[in-house]
Amino acid sequence: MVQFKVNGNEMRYDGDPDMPLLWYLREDAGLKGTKFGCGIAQCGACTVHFNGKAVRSCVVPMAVVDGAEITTIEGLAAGDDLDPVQKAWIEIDAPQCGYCQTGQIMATAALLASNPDPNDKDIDRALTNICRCGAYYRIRKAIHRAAEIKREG
Amino acid sequence: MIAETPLGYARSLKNSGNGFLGDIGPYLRIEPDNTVILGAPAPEIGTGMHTSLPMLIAEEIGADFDTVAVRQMPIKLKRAPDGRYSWAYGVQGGGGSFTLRRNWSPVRRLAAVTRTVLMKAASEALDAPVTQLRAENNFVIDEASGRRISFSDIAALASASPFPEIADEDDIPLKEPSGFTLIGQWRRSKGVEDVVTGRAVFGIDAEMPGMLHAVIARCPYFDGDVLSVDDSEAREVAGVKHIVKLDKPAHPGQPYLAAGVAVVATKFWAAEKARRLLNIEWSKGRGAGESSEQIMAVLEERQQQPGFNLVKDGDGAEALARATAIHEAVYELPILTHATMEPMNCIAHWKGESIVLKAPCHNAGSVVGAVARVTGLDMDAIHLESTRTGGSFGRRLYADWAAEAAILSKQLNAPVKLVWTREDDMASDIYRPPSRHRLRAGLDSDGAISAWSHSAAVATRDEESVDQVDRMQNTIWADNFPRRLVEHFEIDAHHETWMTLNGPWRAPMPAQQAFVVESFINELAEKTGADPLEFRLKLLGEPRDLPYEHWGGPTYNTGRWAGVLKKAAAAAGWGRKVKRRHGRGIAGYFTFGSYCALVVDVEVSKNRDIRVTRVVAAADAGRVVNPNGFRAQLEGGIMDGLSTALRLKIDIEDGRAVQSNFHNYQVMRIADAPPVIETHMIEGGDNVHGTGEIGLPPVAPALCAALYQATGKRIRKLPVGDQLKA
Ligand code: FES
Ligand code: FES
Repeated sequence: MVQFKVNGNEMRYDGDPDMPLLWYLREDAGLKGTKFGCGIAQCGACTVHFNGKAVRSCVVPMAVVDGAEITTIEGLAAGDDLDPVQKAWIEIDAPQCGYCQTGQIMATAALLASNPDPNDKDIDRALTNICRCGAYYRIRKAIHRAAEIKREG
Repeated sequence: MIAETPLGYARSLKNSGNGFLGDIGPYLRIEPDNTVILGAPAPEIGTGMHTSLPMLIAEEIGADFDTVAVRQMPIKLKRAPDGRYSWAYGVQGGGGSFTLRRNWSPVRRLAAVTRTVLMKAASEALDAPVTQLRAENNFVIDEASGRRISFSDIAALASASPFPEIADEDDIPLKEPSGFTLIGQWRRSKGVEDVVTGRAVFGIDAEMPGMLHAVIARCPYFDGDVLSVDDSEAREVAGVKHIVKLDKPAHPGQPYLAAGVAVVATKFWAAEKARRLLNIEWSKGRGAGESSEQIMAVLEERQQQPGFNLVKDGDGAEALARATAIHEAVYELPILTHATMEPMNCIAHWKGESIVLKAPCHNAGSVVGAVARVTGLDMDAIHLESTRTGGSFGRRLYADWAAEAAILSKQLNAPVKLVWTREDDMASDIYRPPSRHRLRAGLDSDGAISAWSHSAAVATRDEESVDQVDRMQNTIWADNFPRRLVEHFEIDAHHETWMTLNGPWRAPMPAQQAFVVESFINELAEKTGADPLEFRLKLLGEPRDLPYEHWGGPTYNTGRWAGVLKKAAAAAGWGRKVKRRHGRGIAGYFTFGSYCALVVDVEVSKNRDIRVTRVVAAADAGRVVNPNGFRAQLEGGIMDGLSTALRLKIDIEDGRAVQSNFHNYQVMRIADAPPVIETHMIEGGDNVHGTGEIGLPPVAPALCAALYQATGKRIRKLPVGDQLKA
């Protein structure tokens, strides 16, 4: 039995300890904003925050989530007030098909938490999520804009 | 629902005597809260269709764009008494950059019909002649008195009385483009809020009550089969309900289905875990021993012999004999996989006499067709709901995944959700076929091209197709540029059959031909000492229409082609000197009715690492509905072009794909994406066109030209990979 928090809610799980967190979130907790893209930590579509750090939930077995605080895209905004990253994403209109974007947003939110004003090099290093639609030009713009919105408070 | 206008309602009125719930065409609905709902006849696959179609509606009907919402229309076929099928609610689906163009008139006409009805009712309610009324922001306003009435109030009145007689809805005038106030303006994508909050429902997120989860261990060998299965360990996994052997279909052709073993469980993870415990012995089938390396050698061998003559203008052999100089080059294009971000998936619920499906679609017709074929149901017994779609790039024009879900649901008599993993996706794709091209040109004494001879060879599966032109359709077309610009022009085609499946991949023909033809043009320019831009402009000559009897035709215009080249060149500062180890390349292409030219800037490090520093694009896709979507599609197409040209290929060994996931099929990440993409818009025509494909074709030739300038090395084989380091 593991106990942990998802978006502030207490959760318990006593199923298969090998099951990746991704599938718990999607199928047990019904939080489908976290996406499946590769299952091997390559694409970042499944990015969530694990004790504040961006992790790829497709390779995090349930066995290790005991005591963790997990935040998913559904828990990123404070109620109706969207996170600066989400606001910037809307303003720049970054998504195309949209499938990768929740992962991109979670990775960006984690980056900005540790580096409030990333330059292009920092972004290149931190954001390794794949966008098959190639929305990178706008994603980069949206990251810079999110940093700005966050600084403006 | 208080008023619903189906397109073609005048006709259905005649047929059924019921104008309000006619069953033809996309529909418009005016809600009690004065918002408007468009039943969209095409899915949102990332190309902005659920934004541009509502723009057409809002423009024509006089609604505030923000109040126009989109719902995906139910997808259904109906059968006429003569047994033929047609769409119950208008043509559905997308593809070929044609969706917007196809819907341009019908969707506006739908709004115009609705507006006419609203105006008529408003005229009675406001006691004012229609000529004195104007529609704006979901209200009809009496210009004389300033009184106004909301669409929803009018709709309530209108629905109380019979629909007015409209003899022929084609007679209702559409708004003149000069009066457009919304079309052509920047508009944010509809639904972006749902995407960034995770609320958007893709197929993989959809559910049906009581559904089971399935994965399939497909035979990795194209054309292989299951020899034996040991599922004893897999059956032990908690949650596993069924293990089903799937036979290789007896029918040839589509849907192409692999033999395999399905694991069906209460959860995805249980099914996946159990699948990994299956012990299956496979046979390799007719593809045994086939490899991508060997197929290229076969194609080369074929090209030593005369092939099938796709086109022959003039007398190439004689012209070549007379030429001052001859230049020859060979280009090779690899196999590509689509790798849509959202893997294939589908929910199917067999109901005995009918089936209900939910899936992320691109082409509803192929889903219905494939499901009918494998279930034996009539097409009108197939009910399909398309969700938002996480990319297609051509992959979802096929419906093998839907057929599999339907087979499982029918066999188990339960709702089944089938999900492909990335490994499944790369192992069992319908790939872009490999091709090899030998080009030979004769140059005359003023450096003009006097003869052009193109030998194109492709390997495809195409078991059903015997038509030679058909077999080449994803690789080369007869009216390929520069046909008719060069007096002696010929294309010799070769085809080899192998077992690797093939189908359209984003800008199927243009993406291959642009690399081949535009690279060769760059080489010829160099050979004659001409600037590659000037060389192209001279070749294109006077602005005129040339025949183009293919998708995007019936003609293309050399002036519009020259126009995008000049625009991109001017914006990029073409002709200025570049620094050492930097390069700048240019290319342009005509794709499915639109023109796009690019200038690509690169920097190559001492270690020969490549950095693309800027891409400047100019495109002429006729009238632009939403400049925001236009630019987004160009940007994405350019990134896809770079990603693919730099690194991507699928190798085949012993009749199966080598690459299996994103670790060895390295789709570009942000670090390799150019930080600057400039997009320039030319509206050189009245037609509207999709822009999802046009940005991609010119990328590879412009990139390779830039790399040549930076390093002196010609890349004639894609992907670029490590060739500069060799
Ligand atoms: S699904 Fe987890 S990184 Fe791709
Ligand atoms: S928006 Fe489609 S994969 Fe990123």
